[in-house]
Amino acid sequence: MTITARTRRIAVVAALALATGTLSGCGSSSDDEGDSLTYWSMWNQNEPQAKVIKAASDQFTKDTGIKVNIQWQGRQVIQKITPTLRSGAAADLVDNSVNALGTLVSAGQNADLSPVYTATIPGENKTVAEVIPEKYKAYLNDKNGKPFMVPYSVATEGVWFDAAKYPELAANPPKTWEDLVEKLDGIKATGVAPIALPSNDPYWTLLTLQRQLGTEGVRELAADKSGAAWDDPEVRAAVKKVEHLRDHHFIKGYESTQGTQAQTSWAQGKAAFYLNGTWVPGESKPNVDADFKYGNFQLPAIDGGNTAVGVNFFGFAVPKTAKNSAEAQKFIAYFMNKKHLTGIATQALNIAPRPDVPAPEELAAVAKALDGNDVYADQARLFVDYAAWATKAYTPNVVRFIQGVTSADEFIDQTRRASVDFWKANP
Amino acid sequence: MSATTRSPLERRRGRIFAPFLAPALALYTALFIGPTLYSLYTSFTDWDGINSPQWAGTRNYSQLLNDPAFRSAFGNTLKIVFGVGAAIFVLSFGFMLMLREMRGRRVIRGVIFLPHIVSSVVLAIFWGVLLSLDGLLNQALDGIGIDPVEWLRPGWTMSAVLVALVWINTGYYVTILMAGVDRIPVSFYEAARLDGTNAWQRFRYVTLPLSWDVTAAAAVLWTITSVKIFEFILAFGGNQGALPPTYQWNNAMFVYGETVGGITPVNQFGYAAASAVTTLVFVAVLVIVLRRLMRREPLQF
Repeated sequence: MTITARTRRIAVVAALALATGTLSGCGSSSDDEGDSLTYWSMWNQNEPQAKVIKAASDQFTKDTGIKVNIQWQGRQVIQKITPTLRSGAAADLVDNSVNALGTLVSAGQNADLSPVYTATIPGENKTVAEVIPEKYKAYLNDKNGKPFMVPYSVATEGVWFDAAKYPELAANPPKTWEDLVEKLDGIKATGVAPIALPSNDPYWTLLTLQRQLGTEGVRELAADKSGAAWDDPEVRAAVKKVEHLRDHHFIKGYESTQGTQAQTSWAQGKAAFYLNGTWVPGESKPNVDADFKYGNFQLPAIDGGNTAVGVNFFGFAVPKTAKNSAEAQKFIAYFMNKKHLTGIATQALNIAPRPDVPAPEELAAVAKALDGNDVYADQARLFVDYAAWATKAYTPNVVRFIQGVTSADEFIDQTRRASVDFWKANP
Repeated sequence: MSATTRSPLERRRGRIFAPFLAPALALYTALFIGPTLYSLYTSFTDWDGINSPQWAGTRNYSQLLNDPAFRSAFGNTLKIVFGVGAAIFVLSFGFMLMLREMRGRRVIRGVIFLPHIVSSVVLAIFWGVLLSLDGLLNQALDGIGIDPVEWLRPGWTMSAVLVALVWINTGYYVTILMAGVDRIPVSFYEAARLDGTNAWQRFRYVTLPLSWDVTAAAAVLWTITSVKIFEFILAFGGNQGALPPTYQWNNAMFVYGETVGGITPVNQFGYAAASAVTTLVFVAVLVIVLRRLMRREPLQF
């Protein structure tokens, strides 16, 4: 066998073709025609939300002739789409929580969804803007004041309990912090642990700080480069309250548990209260007794102050470089029809953003709290606007505090120092 | 060998070399060398992974030095490379001593290899179930009348991770080392036994020297593998999509945390690249030192 120069050339060309083919093969998308859109969803195919979305998209295709190519990408959908954004997004429509979509927004990669808000919902004579409560809208805008997201469900956090076991709590939730502590003492006296929580819980502290300082006060803690905000006696008052709960009301051994153990022990009745999001009923259903009734209350106001409810959204966004942006926006408006959003409540057990869609029974108390109070951005938007600070300065220190390694004063001192260091390194 | 003395066969072989090498080289350049060079460039920029990178000079590197999260991540990486590595090799040699002369050793080898083929994420969940306060281990202790131990108490979680890594990886290295030991002719051991050696002496003077090249290769393999460990740490310490606290991070976890990890990713690709380059340099130096320390005259047998 002889190797000629020609065959050698062919071999080299073939090798290069193979290499470049491997590289380009993964990023290509096939559908660029006008009558279709590609939708990357955060849900997995067997989740109830996915079924509601799928049914709506099938109907959408029937009604409009626009084909919807749905890919169930799972929770990391934004991470997956990020590398495609620059050269033209791989998907025309994505969905996720307002926090996760914040990544698109902070990079300026979101489409302005104003046209969706002014569009009339197909089959109804109202616009999208008319069916979404005014008080939510400020939290759906980017820094230019333009909406980047249209929510299809509203979530919040609160304290969960079994209303069948504690009917008086459902009828008369604690109105003051002292009242809360009294109720916790009462539960403890009956031999039940008052509060279940995971060992790395950052939320009890954060939500108590929000009650004490207000949302802006919490954001000040994150943004303050000098660390002086941590010296405010109000901060100490809030952290001391959590320290008291930690030392008297947290379930025994919580600091040695991982993952979803806390939710399970609460669902099994080993603890009375569990602070978490609106997805708790959906997740914990298999573990609760047949006569269990989901009850929920917000952390009480401190000294008659703040009663606002933290609000988190799940919904649609369109990448700025989407090829079929118009079709994607058409689908969003279509999905906002009452008929489709009702599935979000009845099948997915979520609260729809339209007040005319009744909340599922499990979330009735939450929906009432959202209706009757002011709202604030969930967790003061710390994990969007100050994500690196929250991860590096706040979380490690709050975990040590919650686990009982540090006292209230040590926690404040360490987080102050960590914040100063963080801002020195990240000016 | 000079070109003039090459036989026709060798000349043809020489010519065939390039076309056969080219595809592999092209793939390797495109998939590994290229991205590595790009990471090096990225480490000198500010880059969110979407918009154009902005030149930042050496700022990412100086920032790393002052970042407590990175310093503790680096410390944990060292604990994994050296601490876990030492435990794995000591245990592997122990198994080697035991298994070489034992009946039913194939079964035992299979059993200790098992954790290595199961997904790290599953193992992490199992580890949590095993060690939690009302977990399997404490239930077993309860059976023999011992009070439950808070295995995952604050300050112990990183140790729990290190122990788990030993548990997961030991079987793999036993298998590699045993493959080397199995090549040693039985007659050497018979001769040693006739000379009146005990098990330790047979290990010291026969097994170890004759399987040295395999041991050296396994040490390099561990160094490279160990700095990439991260999925176990994430699955064990993370909670509902959130990252584990920074004091449980290693370098690989740091790269994930600074880029796409967590509920709201921070997308600091330049900063993460700087930490990845630092890790790469560290591993390269370590491998070179290791190769030098472990170099021996190859033994033919």
